[in-house]
Amino acid sequence: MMELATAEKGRYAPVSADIPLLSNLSVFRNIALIRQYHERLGREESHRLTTEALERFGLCGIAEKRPYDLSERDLFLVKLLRAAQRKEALIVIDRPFVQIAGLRSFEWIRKHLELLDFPGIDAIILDYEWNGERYGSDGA
Amino acid sequence: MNAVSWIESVGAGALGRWRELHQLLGFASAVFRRLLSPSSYRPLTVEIAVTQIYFTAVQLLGFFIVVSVVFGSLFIGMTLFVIKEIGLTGYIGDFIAGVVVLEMAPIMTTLLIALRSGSAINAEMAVMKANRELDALEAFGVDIANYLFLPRIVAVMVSVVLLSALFAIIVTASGLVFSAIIFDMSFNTYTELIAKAIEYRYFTIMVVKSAAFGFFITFIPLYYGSRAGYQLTAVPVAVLRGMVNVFIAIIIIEVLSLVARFL
Repeated sequence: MMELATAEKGRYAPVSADIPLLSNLSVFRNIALIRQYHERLGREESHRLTTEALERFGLCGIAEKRPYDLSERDLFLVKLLRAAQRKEALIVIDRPFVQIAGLRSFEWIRKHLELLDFPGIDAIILDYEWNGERYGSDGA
Repeated sequence: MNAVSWIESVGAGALGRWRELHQLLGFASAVFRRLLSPSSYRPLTVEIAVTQIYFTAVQLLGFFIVVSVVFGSLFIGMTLFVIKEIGLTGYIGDFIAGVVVLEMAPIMTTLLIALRSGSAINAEMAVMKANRELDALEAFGVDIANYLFLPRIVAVMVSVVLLSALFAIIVTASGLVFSAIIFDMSFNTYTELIAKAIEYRYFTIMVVKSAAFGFFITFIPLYYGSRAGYQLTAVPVAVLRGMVNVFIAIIIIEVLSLVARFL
């Protein structure tokens, strides 16, 4: 992960148990922060884009919650949405089955990744070899 | 411990302190340069600064006004009484301008804000460090100096300047009441004495001094908080170190401002 972070510094967007959301910000502001900072967006534009992003995953209902109030799955999805806010993001999902203990297969994550059809977006999944079969016949 | 090893340990301690001070001042100057650069400011910076002004100045306002009225009235009442005793009534204006506006207003405001917001900012930053939230910001290419330091520093600088001015106004108004009670002085005589004593440079000194206080009582807690360890036990240590250094910085700025004033 460290090598990826250095090599792809401008688009590196981790989704990892070691990279938390900011606990003093709501879900909405955690997601909005990335574009507000990098693209210098104003409040209204940022509000529109963040609402759009939350709608993709049907997460508008948790927009004002703090990270510690979220379930493992919601936390993962919010981290995924935050990662997708980087321009031409290289989303690096680190050991997804560690992040969502009850997840049995990769299908649920794949379904959500397909909803992130932003231009130039890529995703890499890092996991242990022995988890290979959980990713289905095509691997990951 | 023999003399040589004692001298070695003192030297090592002094060098360690010097390195720490050098790093702190180096980072402070880098943050100060960003403060002056328009490109550092984003709509997000303004949004966070406004929120921080609300937490620092607006939420404190009621308590601050009560403290200013109570403490200011006590202080000015006692001092005017002494002035009357020693027959220096003509110097009321110089006293209020020189002591209240230039010295007491900024230092009282700074102490209140350092105790309330400085310690909160210090703890917030140390907890963010322990939770690896600062690492998360770095991973997403968000510069913590721009995102966390800059808006908080600007907000506290603005808050200290404005609240110092408010403190000076409240205590000057208390002086009006007490000078009427103690000296039987009219409104016109009092305002004339004040107007004669106050010089324009006093406002400049007060604003610069308050802004300097505001900068350091925010920067130092942010700095020590962000340099805390990753364990939760590092949080109180970071707050302790930050707040002790804030106190030292307040004294140094006060001494420097006195030197500058009388040179």
